[in-house]
Amino acid sequence: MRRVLTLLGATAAGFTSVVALHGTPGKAGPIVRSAPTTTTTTPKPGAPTTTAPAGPGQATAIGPLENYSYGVMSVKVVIANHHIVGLHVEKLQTLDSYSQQLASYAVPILKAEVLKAQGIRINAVTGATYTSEAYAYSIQGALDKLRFK
Amino acid sequence: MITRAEPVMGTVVSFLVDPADLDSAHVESLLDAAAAELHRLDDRFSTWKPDSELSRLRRGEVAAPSSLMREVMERCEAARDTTAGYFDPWALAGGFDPTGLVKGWAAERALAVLVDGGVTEALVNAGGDICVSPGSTYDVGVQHPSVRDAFCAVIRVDSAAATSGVYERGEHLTNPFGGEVAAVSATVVGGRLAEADAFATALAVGGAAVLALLERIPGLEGFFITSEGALYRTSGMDLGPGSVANA
Repeated sequence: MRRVLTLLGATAAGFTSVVALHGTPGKAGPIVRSAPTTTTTTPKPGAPTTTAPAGPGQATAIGPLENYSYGVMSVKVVIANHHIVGLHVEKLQTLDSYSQQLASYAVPILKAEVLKAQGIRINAVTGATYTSEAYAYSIQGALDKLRFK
Repeated sequence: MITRAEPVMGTVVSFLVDPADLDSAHVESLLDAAAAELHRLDDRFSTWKPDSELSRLRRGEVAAPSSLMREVMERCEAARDTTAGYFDPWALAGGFDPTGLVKGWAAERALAVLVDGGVTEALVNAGGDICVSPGSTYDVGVQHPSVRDAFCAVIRVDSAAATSGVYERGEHLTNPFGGEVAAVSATVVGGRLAEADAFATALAVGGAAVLALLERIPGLEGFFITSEGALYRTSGMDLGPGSVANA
């Protein structure tokens, strides 16, 4: 959570100081939470929006889009009984300049046998295709053979 | 080296243990306990088992969630915040689904069983979500998203690594903001596995926006690959030997 606060510190300093006063979310005592909502809202720049209270003494507000180093973001706050009980980044847009700064590379194709020939020993495999169960069994089995036989 | 492959949580969890001077029977019993922990967590957090606490919670039948469930919910909230909402278990069809974090979290708990039992060198690989014992370093190959028998990176892991993406079995990712999913594959290295796991999901969904967040977090690095075959990485991401992207 500290990281969130650091991040927010770069965006809305006054806001962060309010949050800091209320301690570290997720670590402090009983945490009151409203039912999570699945709707997402895109706030208009510079126009804070407030929704109707979601529960007794509870209100939700979405702050205006604020600049941060790599773009703009807005933050949603849920307040109940004068305490901040929820804090979420509601909208995040990356600056085009950050995306433009990003160098794009061709995806390396590293063949297992070439790596092996180079003396590089792979201990384990991760990958987006890896959750295919049969494939997972297969590649881990092959790996075990390479390493342990 | 003692290994085990345990089918659980809809995937295979592999253990690599260097027993050092530990009795191998002791290590095997620790592996039994670690596997049992995974099954115990699967029984609680499976979205496929109708009687799991998570399934009952999703049906609105749980008035008082267990302490484990509350811990997962709090970690999910924290991950949702650190990923600027790109990891959002509450934005998925069918209700709260923490699967993107639970697998890594469970692997960490299984690793803790081994470490608490005296193991000093171990790797747990929960279907590509990898954590290693403190002080250990392993080389992990990242499966190339489109070339079957190749890796796109070899990363050095001394804490955790996770990969997320559009899987072979179809689209598994949802963009909470309603847009497209940015990447076919996204990998995050460093930190705690539960967090890396959630961030990998967020990076796959959010692409450059999430990479910008990762860039600011000490100890976490990552890269993602688009469907056009372009690779983007944080400035500290080392893709390993033989990779031109390190040039």
